[in-house]
Amino acid sequence: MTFAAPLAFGIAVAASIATVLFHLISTQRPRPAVLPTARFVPAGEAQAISRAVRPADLLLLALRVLALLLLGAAFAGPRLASSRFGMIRMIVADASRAAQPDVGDSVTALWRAGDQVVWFDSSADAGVYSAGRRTSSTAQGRLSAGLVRANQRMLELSEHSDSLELVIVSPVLREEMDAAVVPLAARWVGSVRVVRSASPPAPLSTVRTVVAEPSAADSTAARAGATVIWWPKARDGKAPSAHADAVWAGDATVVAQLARLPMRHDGQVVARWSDGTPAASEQQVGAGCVRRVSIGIPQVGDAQLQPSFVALQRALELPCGVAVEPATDAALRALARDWPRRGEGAGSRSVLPPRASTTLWLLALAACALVLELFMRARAKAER
Amino acid sequence: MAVGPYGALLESVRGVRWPARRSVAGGAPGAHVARSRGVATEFVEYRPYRQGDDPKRIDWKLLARSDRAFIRLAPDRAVLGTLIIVDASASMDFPKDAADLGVRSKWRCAREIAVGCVAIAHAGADPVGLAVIGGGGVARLTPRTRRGVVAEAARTLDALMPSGAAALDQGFIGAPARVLVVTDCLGELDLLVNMARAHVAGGGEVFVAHVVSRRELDPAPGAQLAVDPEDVSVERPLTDETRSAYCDAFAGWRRETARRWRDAGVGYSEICDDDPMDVAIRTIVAPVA
Repeated sequence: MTFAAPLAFGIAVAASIATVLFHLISTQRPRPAVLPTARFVPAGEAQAISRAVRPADLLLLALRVLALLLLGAAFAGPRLASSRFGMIRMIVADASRAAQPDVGDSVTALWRAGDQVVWFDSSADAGVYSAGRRTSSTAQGRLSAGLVRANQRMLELSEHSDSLELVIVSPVLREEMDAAVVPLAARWVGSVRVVRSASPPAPLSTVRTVVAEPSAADSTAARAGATVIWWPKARDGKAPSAHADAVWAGDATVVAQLARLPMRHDGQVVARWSDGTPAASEQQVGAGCVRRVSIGIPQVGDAQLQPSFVALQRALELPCGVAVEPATDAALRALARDWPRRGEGAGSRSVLPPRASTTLWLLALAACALVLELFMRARAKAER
Repeated sequence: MAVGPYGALLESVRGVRWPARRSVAGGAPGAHVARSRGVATEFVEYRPYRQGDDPKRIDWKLLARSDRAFIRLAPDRAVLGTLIIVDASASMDFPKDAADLGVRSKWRCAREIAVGCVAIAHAGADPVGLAVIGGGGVARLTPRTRRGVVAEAARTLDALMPSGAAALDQGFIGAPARVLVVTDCLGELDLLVNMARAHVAGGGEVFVAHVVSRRELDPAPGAQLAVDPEDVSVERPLTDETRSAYCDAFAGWRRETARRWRDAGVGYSEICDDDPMDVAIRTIVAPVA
């Protein structure tokens, strides 16, 4: 058994020792002895502090020590020792559109009996699976989704191991990173390692923007690998009126007087309105794609000149496929860190929360011991 | 003479004399210098002849030389009646388990002092008596000089056991000129001192042998509830913390008691129960310097 806060248990042990000493120094009525000169002894209580070889009131002492130790153990946060002294890996593997086949190879090479694998693509698809290959999805990867799931499994894994290791197997593209990734990785109690897999090939750079429905020529170009962006212009009298709305795509978010153009969206959603309805979608066509954008650009005002709108426009005009922009080395350094194995140095103190049920049981037992001690003390006093 | 366990003690005090502290009243011939003048051959002084003097005591040679009639005076010697008052109160029976501990109790100590002093007084041809006063009353032996008085005193003492509280002042009633009080002074001390002072003022002599126990001077270690054997309501916790205060109080009381006895003209000696008894007895009967 180990403790999350050994100092609390140490204090309880010290208090128990002090209790035993107090029982050795008991105030009792000493044995009477005839002394003709008793009148010269200073008057006082006919009770004296006496030191005994054996503690007095053994039952009371046992109850008090038991209560102290139980309280100390409860506050110290006990954790049962694992059946084996080893390390368990939590492998967070990329199964998004950015993942290449070498991700599965890396997972197979890393996996050992007892390890856990979390395959992630987007938050909706995060789950725990056993080791093995998994087909990559077409969804954009969210590393934070995988880390959330890994952290959820951390407590369970910690009860069967002495140390934990988080291994992220992913190309770690910039599109997979968000603001929650580093804090989520920091919550992991153990070392964090990043195994960077191969990045996907760079997409074709041909982009064709059309305002009318794509023609046969546009479809042909798309099959050949071009990116056809169908972004109709809002026309007065036909388009719905603009109103205050918000739309986001990638990292860009725009809040402005916008009109929602009527358009049917198929394929993967790449932009959404504030209420979650699709604002742009992308449909694979041959080697390229056709991207439909239903964001009505206001003809009045300077919304198009705002940096946020420029960023939104840039995100929507990216070529089809994955934006192969790897995360920076600084971001990787923020993720990866070492963690001392438990029992190997002063910094190895585990911060894993103890099981609440164990603490409650210990507190309940301590309360019972204290109540029993109260009863025994009252009875002993009555007997005297 | 059947003196039982006192044989060795009596042998050790053989030859010890107990002289009077000052001239005694005239009386039966004895060993002590009397205030009266006698007719012994030992010359002291001349005194002019007065009518009524025995003409046989006139120094005729002096009359022939000086034509004046003088008579020769010689010192007179008389006996000194002695009473040994022994305190047989419960406090003298300490330690109770003295025999098991292989030590001398205060009561044993008092008995040996009394028997030794009876023997010494008897050897000086003084009439000697005994008054053993305890909770059960007073056991008296009238002062006398006949043989066997020492054995009788020993038997009287051995037959008694200390108990209760002792009114030692009763022993002074009808007491002879010399009184020895063997006590631990834990009774009615004021009354006893006053009686002794009155006896001394009346021309008598009073000696006090104050018997203390080594275990009173240095109680056994450890916490104990000290109980007064003569007053069970007195219960005091004697612990390591109160021990020094007790020792200081007891020492101060002993000093004060000795001063009071000496101020009353009493020959005071403090005897510890582990002192050699022959030495203690010599201390008691030693003439005052």
